[in-house]
Amino acid sequence: MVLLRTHLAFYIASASTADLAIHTSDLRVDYGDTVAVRGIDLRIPKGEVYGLVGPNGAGKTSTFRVLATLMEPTYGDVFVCGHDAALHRSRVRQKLAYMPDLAPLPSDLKCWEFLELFAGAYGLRGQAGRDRIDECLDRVELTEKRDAMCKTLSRGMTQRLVLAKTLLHRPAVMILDEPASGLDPVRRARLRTTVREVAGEGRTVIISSHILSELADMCTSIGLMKDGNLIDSGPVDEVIDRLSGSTRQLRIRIAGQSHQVQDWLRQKLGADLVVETERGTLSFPFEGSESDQADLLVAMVSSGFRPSSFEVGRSSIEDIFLDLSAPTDVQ
Amino acid sequence: MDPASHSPALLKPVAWWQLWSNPIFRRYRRSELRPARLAVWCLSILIFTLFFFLLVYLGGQRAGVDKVTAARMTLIPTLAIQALVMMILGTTSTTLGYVREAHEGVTEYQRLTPSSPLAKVLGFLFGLPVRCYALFLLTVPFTLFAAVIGKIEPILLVRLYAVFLMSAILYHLTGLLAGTVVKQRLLAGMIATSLVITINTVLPFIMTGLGKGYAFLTHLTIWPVAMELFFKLGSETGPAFVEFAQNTGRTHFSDGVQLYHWEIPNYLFSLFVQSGLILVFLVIIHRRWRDENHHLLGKHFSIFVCGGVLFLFLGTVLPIIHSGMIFPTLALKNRGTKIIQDAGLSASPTEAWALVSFTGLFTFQLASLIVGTITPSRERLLQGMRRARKLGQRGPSLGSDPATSFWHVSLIGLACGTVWWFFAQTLFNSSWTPDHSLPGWALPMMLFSFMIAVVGFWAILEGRSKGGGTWIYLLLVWIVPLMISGILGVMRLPVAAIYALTPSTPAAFFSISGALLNLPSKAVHLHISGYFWLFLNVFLVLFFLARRWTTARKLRAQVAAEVSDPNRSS
Repeated sequence: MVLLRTHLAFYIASASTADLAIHTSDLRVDYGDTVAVRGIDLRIPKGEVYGLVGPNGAGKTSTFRVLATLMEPTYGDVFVCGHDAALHRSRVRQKLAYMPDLAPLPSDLKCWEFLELFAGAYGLRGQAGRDRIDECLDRVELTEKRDAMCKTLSRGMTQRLVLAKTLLHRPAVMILDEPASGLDPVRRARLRTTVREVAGEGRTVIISSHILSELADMCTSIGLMKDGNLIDSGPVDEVIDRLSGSTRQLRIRIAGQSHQVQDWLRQKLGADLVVETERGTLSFPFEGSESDQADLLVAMVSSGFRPSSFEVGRSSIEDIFLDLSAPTDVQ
Repeated sequence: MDPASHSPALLKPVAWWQLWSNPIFRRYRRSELRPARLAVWCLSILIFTLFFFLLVYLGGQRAGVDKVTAARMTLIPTLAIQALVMMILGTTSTTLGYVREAHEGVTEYQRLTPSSPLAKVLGFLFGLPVRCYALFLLTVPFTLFAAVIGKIEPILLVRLYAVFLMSAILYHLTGLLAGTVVKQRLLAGMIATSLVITINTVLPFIMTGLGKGYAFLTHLTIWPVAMELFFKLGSETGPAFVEFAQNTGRTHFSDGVQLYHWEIPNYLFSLFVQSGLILVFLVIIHRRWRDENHHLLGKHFSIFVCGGVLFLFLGTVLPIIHSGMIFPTLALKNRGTKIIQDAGLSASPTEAWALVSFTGLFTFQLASLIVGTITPSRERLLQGMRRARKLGQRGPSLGSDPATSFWHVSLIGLACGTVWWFFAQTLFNSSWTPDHSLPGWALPMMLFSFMIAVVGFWAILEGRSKGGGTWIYLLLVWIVPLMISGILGVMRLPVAAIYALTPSTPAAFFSISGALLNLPSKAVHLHISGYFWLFLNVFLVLFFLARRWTTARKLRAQVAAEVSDPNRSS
């Protein structure tokens, strides 16, 4: 009976996960008494650039290692492009590529030899393999370092070479753990372009980075992890809206009379309102609907003030990350 | 770019048997055979081999030895250099190379490629020491010269080098295993090199001292086949080899190996034993490649490993009980003869007691090694319970790593205990100990003692909590008494030395064996010590079993609080 139920669950899960690049259900990872990942359910559609965000120890790397088939979860299912990672590990490995944090390189190989090792491992041999190696080196702008020993590369070049390795077999899913670390701003911009191009080819990229502003630019959707839990997941704007709630920051620039405006705002919105002023622009938190915002603006104009600009500031991934990283109050 | 045209499913990884195309092997062919460095190595090996070759060949002729014999004599230095290159250098480079890769983190990438784990293991196994294979090939012309000028039958050299290469692969695999299991580079290198030296020199030395016992351990080396060849060549060409062989007591190497009733040629037996160990090592490394947290051996497979070792042990040791060669004193007295035929000789009962005790200790060590390998830690138990509860099962499946190893341990304990008794029974029923025999209650007594020791060890391991309490206990109660007893022995206080050993489980095999036999000297003290150990350990085992049960109960309660049971929730 249990066997039948397991088989049925497997077929139902396989059918429902065919359109997803990654699907985990109730994924849990333990290290003895420490729970690294607490039963998370991830659903990442194909072609997404998905950012996994969370403070250190949130469970991101453990999740990545399970997705990359480097470790078995305590329990839970992982499907990569519809293949069960527990049952079809080899097929899953053909579909994905993993770039670990602080990606290492063998010290005794040249750059092209390093790529040849992995081209061969994925079955890319002969002229096709050599062409693909050159193509990948070109894509990460390392063609001139083709014959250099890996140990002579800088940190940034190392990252780029490992990225080239990751691209070699044209994986359907790429898992990149901190790919931008060690890259200068120009290379980071280039990485963003590469990631977007890869996603444009229909591949799925799962990425974690501490450079959150860039993550927001690159990702189409994000997942937020804390203490092993997936707090929220979905398109970037939706997640930010959900987590930042109904409070937003309004920024108004008034022609003159800034002190009077502050007093007027406190009368209108509450005596304890914190209003920050920077070069004539007032910034303050506002809770309410868009209609309430419009009413406030009309009231302001009616009161004789003359706003020259009006802007609704949104929370960023960075704000949410800082909120997540703040220690939780223990009651 | 159209992703469908580059579907990863179209790519076909290299099969395990396509070694030449194996990307890991190719990688090492490139990095280890770079011309500049290879030239230095080749030149060094060539110069040294040539030096020793000429020294023996020309020096031998100058000393009056004919050309054929001198050519045959060059086999010894050539083989020594080949062994140095393949065994020591090859093993060290395999271990250090693998640990360096693991330390740098590059092996993580390899684990992620879709090639089969076996293809990856073979890539490392033949790739890491590829330079040593090249250097070995460089010395082959010297062997061929010895074969042609020395008129050596080709089949003899084929046998020798088949065993030589099998041994080399075994040692390289030992290095790979050390590199896989031990993460620290220096420690892994030291362990691998020590293992090679132990297997190659220490074990054969001890085995020679013990007559022909434990022959299967000696056959992990090339010694038996090499000595057989040298003896054969020597007996054909002159007295020098015969004299050498007789002086070192190695004439029996020409006998082949007696396994139960079968007489097996040395080279075949060596190949059989070595390939068995290679299989076990491959399984271990394969498991670690699949998941680095796996136990070294699976539970079911460990029973086969234990059974295989016991089969070989009994098979090689029983025939030499009948010949009397198992007793070191008789073997020493009768060196040079094939079988001791003189039924008038009898063995010392103390020697027989020591052999029974050592066999008990050997089988216990074997059982302990396997128990330590297959018994889950607290963390693994917890992980298994969580998973089982989530899947609505009563517990992890019997053969899985997180499952309790109690049933497998019991089976292994029973098998090892029975072999211990069977050995003692055969030894004391043989014509060599006419005045002694094993009592009828020896079987239950020996089995009970053995199970107490093994199950006690299992309960200690599986019931252990966090911290190093278990290891402190094992050190203080198992090891320290041995040391105290040793000191008392040196101080010529034999009775105190016997009692000092009492709490130690490894030492109990001596006192229990002593309690079963009527030994003329100090027998009563051994009786007391043996029975007291048994009495004490029955209570200790009960205590450890209770602790293990409590631990399991606590873990189950913890898991019940953490993980919902799908059977109840549905």
